Amino acid sequence: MIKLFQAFIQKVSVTMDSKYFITSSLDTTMKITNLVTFQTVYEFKKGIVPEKEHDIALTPDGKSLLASNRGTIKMLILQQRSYSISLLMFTKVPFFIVEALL
Amino acid sequence: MKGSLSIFDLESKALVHHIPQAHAGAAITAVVTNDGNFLISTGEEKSLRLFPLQSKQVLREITKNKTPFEDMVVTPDDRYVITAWLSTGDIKIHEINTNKEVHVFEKAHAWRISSTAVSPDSRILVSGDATGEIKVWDLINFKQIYNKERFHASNLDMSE
Repeated sequence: MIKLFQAFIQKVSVTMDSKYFITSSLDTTMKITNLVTFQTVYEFKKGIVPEKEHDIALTPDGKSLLASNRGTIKMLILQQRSYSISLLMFTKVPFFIVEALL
Repeated sequence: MKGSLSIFDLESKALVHHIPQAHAGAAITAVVTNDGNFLISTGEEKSLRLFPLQSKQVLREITKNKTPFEDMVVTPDDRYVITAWLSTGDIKIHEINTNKEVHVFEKAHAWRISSTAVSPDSRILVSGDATGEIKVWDLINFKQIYNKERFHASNLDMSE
């Protein structure tokens, strides 16, 4: 008998500054967690990453995060609420998604 | 061709390396080290192999196991290749230059290890599994530094 875990960790990734890790799950949520304190600094609601088997990847410049599955690609641009910092920086929270394509 | 590996130049789109029959069965995963010197791949025959790209060295079989690989990652400093194993839940760390198995996190996860990632400073390994459990490992002292079950389980819904 096969158990289906919606909490299945689909992908883990570490930010370029080695300070945070990003996890996504089959339940379509995503979290950003501090690698020193292990406090989750932001949790994205359901639906932020594509359903079922998917992949996430940070761009090398840290500005964007790509999430894809078979047939869907999302480009997520994360910025601080102040709009003043364009790079993906996690020194302050909360973050929010300013653009999501497809 | 089954088991072959090909590398293409991303700018010219030209085929720059082709290794026929790199594996006896299908090649499962492949990664090029950050210095561009080696191609490391896993195969259906459950072997982990290293192919020199810049020299005339022959290929090396880093390790072979009875159970399939689940995931593979190379540390950004090109020192280690880290593999997750399907049946045992082990995470094995091999030194690329020497083939030496420097550490094994035995039964690192009780369930299928679904993803692994290494920090850009090569000091931290993060692993996640099918139950939503996350573990964080110190790659300097080879010890677990964090463990959280049901990391994404706020809306956990298990069914049989």
